[in-house]
Amino acid sequence: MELGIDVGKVGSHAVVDVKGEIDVYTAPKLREKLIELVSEGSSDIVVNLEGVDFLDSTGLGVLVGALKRVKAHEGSLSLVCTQDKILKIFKITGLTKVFPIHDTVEDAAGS
Amino acid sequence: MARVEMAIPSRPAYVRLVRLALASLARSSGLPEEAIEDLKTAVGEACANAVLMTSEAGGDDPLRVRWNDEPERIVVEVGERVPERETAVDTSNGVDSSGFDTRLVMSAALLDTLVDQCEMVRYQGGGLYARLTLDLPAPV
Repeated sequence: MELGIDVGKVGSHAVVDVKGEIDVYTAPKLREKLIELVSEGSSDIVVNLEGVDFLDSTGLGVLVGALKRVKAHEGSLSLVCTQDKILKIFKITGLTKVFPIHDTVEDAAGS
Repeated sequence: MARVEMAIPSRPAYVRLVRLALASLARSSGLPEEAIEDLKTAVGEACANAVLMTSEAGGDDPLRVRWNDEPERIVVEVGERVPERETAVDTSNGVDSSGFDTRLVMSAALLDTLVDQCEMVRYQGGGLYARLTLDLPAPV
């Protein structure tokens, strides 16, 4: 399955809608997109994971790397996720304390 | 009791194939959906670790996956017979160095949590494999 990535804008936030499976094969594509956004000047980013069916540590590593990049530009990276199976991955790895995780894109962009 | 063995190219593109195959086997064994998701994630982690390790070592050995469906447990083994690395970790796999170190820690946390037992076992002649054990509930 290909990883689908669409980028939009809500207020001052770049919103990255991700669909499919984020794993060792597809994670580099997400990493490239997030690096591109930051290098183009977007430092407040929302990553919408509602369309993600699978997430592994490679995908988590990409999100952590992106968080470090936006923080270096005094920006923010928030996530949108309500799926129990994906939230479980964030809880096990302790990343619920690292990322703001919201129920909707609007909430995330307003935070 | 069923035993299934697969050998696939040790490349990231094939990891999904292993996840889907083992999820299908787990479904056939009557595992509940949440346990299947946990197993898929754990197997995905073991495969990703093995594939990245092979890539760093410059090896091209196939990724070997073995499924053992026993009465009281399911055992999955994932590994490669590649020589062990003596050099530092090469992080040219698409994840930056800080992200890669973080990834290993997170992968270990997922493996420790999602299956009942995860151990690394040495192949005779070189290489490592992960042995994941999922205990099955006793029949009512």
